[in-house]
Parts: sequence; C-alpha cells; structure tokens
Amino acid sequence: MSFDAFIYEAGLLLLAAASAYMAVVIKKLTAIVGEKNNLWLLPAAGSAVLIVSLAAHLYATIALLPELGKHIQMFSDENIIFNSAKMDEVKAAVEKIKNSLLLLKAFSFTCFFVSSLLIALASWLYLKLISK
Amino acid sequence: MKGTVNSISVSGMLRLLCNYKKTGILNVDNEKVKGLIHLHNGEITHVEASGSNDIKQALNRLLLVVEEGSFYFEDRNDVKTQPLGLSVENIIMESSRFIESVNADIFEYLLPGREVLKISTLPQNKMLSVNFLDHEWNLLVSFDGNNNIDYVLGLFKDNLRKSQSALYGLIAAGLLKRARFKTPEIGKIAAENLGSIGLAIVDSEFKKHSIDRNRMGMKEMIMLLNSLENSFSEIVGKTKSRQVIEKIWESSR
Amino acid sequence: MTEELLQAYSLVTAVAGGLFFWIGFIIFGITARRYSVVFNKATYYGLMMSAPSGILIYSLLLIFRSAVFTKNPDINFWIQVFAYVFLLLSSFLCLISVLKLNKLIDELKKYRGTK
Repeated sequence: MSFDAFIYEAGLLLLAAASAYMAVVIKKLTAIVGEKNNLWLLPAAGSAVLIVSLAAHLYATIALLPELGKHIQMFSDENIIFNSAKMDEVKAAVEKIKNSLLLLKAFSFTCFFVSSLLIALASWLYLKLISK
Repeated sequence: MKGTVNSISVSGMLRLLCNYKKTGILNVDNEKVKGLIHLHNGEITHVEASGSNDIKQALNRLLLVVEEGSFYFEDRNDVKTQPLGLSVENIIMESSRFIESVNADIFEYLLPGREVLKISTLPQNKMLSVNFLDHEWNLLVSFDGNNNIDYVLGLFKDNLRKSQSALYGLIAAGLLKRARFKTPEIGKIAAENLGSIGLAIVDSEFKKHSIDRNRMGMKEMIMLLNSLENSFSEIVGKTKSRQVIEKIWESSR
Repeated sequence: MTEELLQAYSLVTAVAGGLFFWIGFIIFGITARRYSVVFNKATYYGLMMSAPSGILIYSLLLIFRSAVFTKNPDINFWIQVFAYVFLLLSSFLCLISVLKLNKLIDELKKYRGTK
C-alpha cells in the first residue's frame, strides 16, 4: 500500500471511530434528557458506512491498483507488443480495471458523503431536541 | 377542644389558650402523669398533677408530656380566679430544660431541618417576661429569617441535645415561628427529575454563586433558580427545565 | 464521458462529505460547549468545533488538485498527500474531543453530590 493511501485509510478509520463514539455520547445524552429515541443509531450507521467506504478504498488500493500496475507493465513485454490479440486483451483488462477503480472510487466517496449526512443529521436533531 | 400530643404539644395548646384569654380547665391524661390546669382569662390560676405537690414541678411534668397521650380543654367558669403570676412563655421555656429527662427523641418533635425560622412579633398589648439561659438566647437570635434549623443547630453542635431542647421550647413558647418559605430540597428534586446530572448542575450553581444552601434567603433563592433554569435549559431544553423549576418552587411553599 | 462524469461525481461527493462532516462536528461542538459552560469543566469544545476544519481543507485541496492548472502529477501527488494529512489530523482531533466529552458525561452520571 502506498504511503498516501495509508494516511487516507488511517484518517477514515479515525473518523469512523469518532462517529462511533459520537453515537455512544448521543445515546447517553438522550438518556439524560429523558427521551426514549434511537437518535444514536444515525451516527452509528454513519460509522458503519464509513467503514464500508474504507473497505472499498482498501480493496482498490490492495487488489485493484497492483493488478492495474501489473497489466500496464505488460505493455513493455515483447510478447504482448508484437501480438495484437494479446495487446487487445491487455488493453481491455486495463480498461476494465480502470472502470472498476472509478466505480469503486465513486462508491467510496458516496459512502463518505452518506456518512457525513448521517453525522450532521444526528447532531442537528439532538441540538433541536434540547432546544425545545 | 381536644388534641393528642402527636398533632400539637400541651405547651402549644396552653400558649394558645392563654393568648386567646380562655377560661376553663386544660386536662392532661398520660400514662405517666395525669393533671389539670385552671385558666381564667388566659391566666394560669391553678395546677394539679398526680404525684406532684409543687406548682412548678406539676406544670413541668404536664408540659413535658411528649409521648402519645391526650388532653382536652373544657370551657368552664367554675375555675380558680386568682392568677399565679406565671408567664406561659417562661414556664414553657423552663419545662423544655428538663425535656432530656423524658428520654424522648426530641428531634422527632422538631420541625424539619429545612424550615427557616424567625423571631415572632408580639401581638398588641402583649407583655412578655421570659428568663433566658445564654444558649437559649443565642439560639433565638441566630434565627434571622434567613437561616434554617439545620444551619443554626450546626452552629451549636457542641451541645446538640441542649440546643434541640431549647429549640423545642422556643417553638412551643411561640417565640420562634416559620418564615414565609422553607429552603426547598433543590438537589433532591433535580436528582429525581434529571438524575445525577441534575444534582451536578445544582451543586455547580451553588458553587458558582457562592451560596450557602442552609443560609439561603429569598433573594438568593430567586437568583439561584433563575440561573438554574438557564443551566437546565442548556442541557435538557426549556420545557423540561421549566417543569423542574416549578417543582422546586412548589416545595418551597 | 462516463469517466469524466464519475470523476466529477466523486469530487463533488468528497467535497460535500467533507462539508457535512464539518457542519456535523461543529453542531456537536455547540452541545459540548453547553456542558462546558454549565459545569465549568473542560470539554475541548473549541477543539471539536475547529478540528473539522481539517476535513474542509481536505475537500478544498481535492478541488484544487482537479483544477486545470495542476496537471503536473508531482504537484498533484503532494496536494493529495497534504489533503490526506489534514483529514488524518482532523479525524484524530475530532476523536479526542468526542472522547473528552464522553469522559465528562461518564463522570457526571456517577456524580453523587458534595458532602
């Protein structure tokens, strides 16, 4: 795994941990207010979704990127260069991996976005609860 | 007029009868002592008690009835009319000095510790003649209308039993009475409604405003409750905060 | 076209996600501030409200990286690294501040009054 990817993964993990603890805190805070609701589930779900985002990014980094690199290296292989059928195969494989990477990236950031919505919603709802 | 000593003391009844200038006989009936007190226009004119020949001793024994017993007052005119020259407040104070000998737990007959007391004013044309011992006077003047019983007894904790007896006497003699409000159990109410967070908020507010909860006057209480309402609102919301503050006000009445 | 659309979509969701995380933690910081004011105890609410700025910077750097004048891969790489570092720092500080608030709440729940 590259150094920048590692930093990103660590950041997401810590953010997921912060969201999970936010769920714990909100659960305790709503108990103090005397309200029986499941508001804490929002940040808990946010944390879970962030973990999914992390998993997607991790898969892309650990599995797909090396695979892409391997296929790109094949372009310098004489057996591939002079064999148009094999070259097309490699090109198709590279294209497929690139698309997968793009889709995974989009999925990962979607999860990131959904998680952030859940966190923001939970915070806002709790503040609204104690302001009434 | 009838009563049991569990609802009003013999001392308290005697004082009322004297203040209302009643004429008749106050009968006291208890397993340890039986007796009667003649009253003529609110003046004590005669005292009898089983096993006592001395008037003062008889009075003390009758006024010291604190356990379960009963007394009743008969409106009658066939009573002795010559006043004995006794001040009812003074004899109540004197009898309270012997209350320890009765082996009763005086604390049970005192008002709750949160009650704020103050020195009573005299009705028009009333003359008061009381001999105070030093600790009785000091206890009396410690109740300035802002201090509750717990606080004042705390000042005299070196001789608590004696102070409690004196307090019993002062209240029974009508020299001390309840002030307009009693210090509410703010912490307890907050804890019941908001849990330990409520209690923590209350203690924090007392500390913030440097208020002694046993010496809290009305002005401090209003300031404290305003501050508490804001703090409760911050943590649990305005609606719940108002509910808790109302309960605290209720308990002060 | 599809590739460009997916890239744009990823960028938008990353930035929006960073923005909403920032908003979420700031609002939560308001709650922490209330506890700090009422109990006169440290809740690190200032940290909770300022730490998410790192996530916002992460979002902004992502936008910057995809800007036209940063087609240089080396610069792009370092912008990305800085963005991730800000995200990491920010997440760490958010976690610390949430843990601090949690600790205070635990203390308050065990509170039994002054003697």
